[in-house]
Amino acid sequence: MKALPEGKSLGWMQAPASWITSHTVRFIGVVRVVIQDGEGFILIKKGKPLFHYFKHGTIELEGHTALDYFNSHPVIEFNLCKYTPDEFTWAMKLCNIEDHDTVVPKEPAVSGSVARQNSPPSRTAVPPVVKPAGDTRILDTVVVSPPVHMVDKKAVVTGPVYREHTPLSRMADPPVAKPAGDTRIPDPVAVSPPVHTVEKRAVVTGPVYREHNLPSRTAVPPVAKPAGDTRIPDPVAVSPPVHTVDKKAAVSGPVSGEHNLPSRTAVPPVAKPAGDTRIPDPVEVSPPAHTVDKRAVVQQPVVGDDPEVTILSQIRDLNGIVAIAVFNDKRTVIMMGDADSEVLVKIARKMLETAKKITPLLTWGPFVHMTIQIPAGNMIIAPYRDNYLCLLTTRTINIGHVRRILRDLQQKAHLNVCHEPGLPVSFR
Amino acid sequence: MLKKILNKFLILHDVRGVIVIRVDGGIVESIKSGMEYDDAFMAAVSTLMVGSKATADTFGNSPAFMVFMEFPDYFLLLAPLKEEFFLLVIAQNTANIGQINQEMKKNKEDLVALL
Repeated sequence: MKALPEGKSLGWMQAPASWITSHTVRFIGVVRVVIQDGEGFILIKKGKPLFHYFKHGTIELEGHTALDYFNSHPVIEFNLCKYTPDEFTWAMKLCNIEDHDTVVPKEPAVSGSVARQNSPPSRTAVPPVVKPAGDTRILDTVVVSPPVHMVDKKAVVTGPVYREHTPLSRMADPPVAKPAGDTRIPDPVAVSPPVHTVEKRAVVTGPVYREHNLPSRTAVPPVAKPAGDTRIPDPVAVSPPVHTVDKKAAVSGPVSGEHNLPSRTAVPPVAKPAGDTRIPDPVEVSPPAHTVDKRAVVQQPVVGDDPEVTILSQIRDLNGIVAIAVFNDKRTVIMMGDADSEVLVKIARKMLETAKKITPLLTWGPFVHMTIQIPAGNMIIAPYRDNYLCLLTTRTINIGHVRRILRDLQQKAHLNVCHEPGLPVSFR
Repeated sequence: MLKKILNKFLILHDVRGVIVIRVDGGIVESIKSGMEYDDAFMAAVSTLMVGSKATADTFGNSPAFMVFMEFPDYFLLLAPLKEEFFLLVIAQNTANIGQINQEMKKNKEDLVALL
């Protein structure tokens, strides 16, 4: 794989792989992924992953195999790199992707409820390479039926924008040629047509619950493999994933986001040659139980939408800002900058603990922000939507400057809320 | 004399109270304008001192630190004077932090000398 264009880095982050597709709806570029000693990328166009790739030593994973490997880790470290149209076109060429959707449509300029459906990129069928009879080393063609999209609009009302993040449907991918005698590459995967449904319901003034149902994957009869060959992993067949964006009541209040991660029932782990220790074993992730109970939910971040990532990276780029993190009681949602995220968030949590103890003792309302100045710099925490923001700055930044930054951030977040009414700012 | 110095802070725009306080929560000297230092308030101040000290200790040996905590209408500014003594300024959000900081720098030596 040739090196892709560099792009403009928006910063390093740590989040589940599923976060990437659901929070990059306005992003065009590459997401560079680092897992242990391996590196890879996901080429993304407005929330649609076009190409997955991962390399660890001499092992290269592409497409679904790479995606499965990314998904097998609860959290991955990645860098969002924005592309210009030229860079993106060049990257597409390098990845052998043809995209007929050359003109990027503008967002509808409506102040109302819009049901948006991101159709998977149309990928023209590339004639498969003819493989010699009996040669089991080369993958069979992946057979994929066209996806069925259904949009059921029940009512058009003033309210938030609903998006459906549809994973890439890989239409007739050309088979990957593999070297003679290489039995490490898994046999073909049969994929049935995904069904996409966007159902829109009435919008009322109430809390917004976001639900992202990602494909559920069930077991399908395996494809035949040479008898007695134990080195080839059993093939994986994927049953039709059903994508549903179910719109529920929307309120002018805090947002509770529910993201159902793919239920990975009866799917064998990522194919890996027996005894090959070069690729780290995938981590078994049991499907998390999500409830739609407001506040009690350990939710996926709502903060990482592309403009917000941009805002955070802009703040990080300010003079004197060493690191910026978004965190909650349980984990670090976003981390950008040059600092040990573990240590930084540990300190931030300690500050938060103090703030939470003090707030009920005073009758002044919720805390807006807290700064601790030490010789090394300033440590700042502030509520940020349903999470908390943590800034580490040098001593060149004074408290007045910090307050200005936080106020700007609040205003920018408020502007975003105006565009997406379901996402109120909670600088409480 | 201590009160005279604290008054320099209180006359600043929208400053509501100034306290010289020990790390154990005991008030050495205080001055206020339109607010009460009740038990809950003093408990909050003690929690802030202890919590901030614990946080600063996480950074290693950082003896000098200042804590700023902002609420919708008021903020607290806690600055160390010497060893076990702190200066706490309570002000409305409209107060000028730069001015308060400058006053702190100007009067720190005098305050420490009196403790």
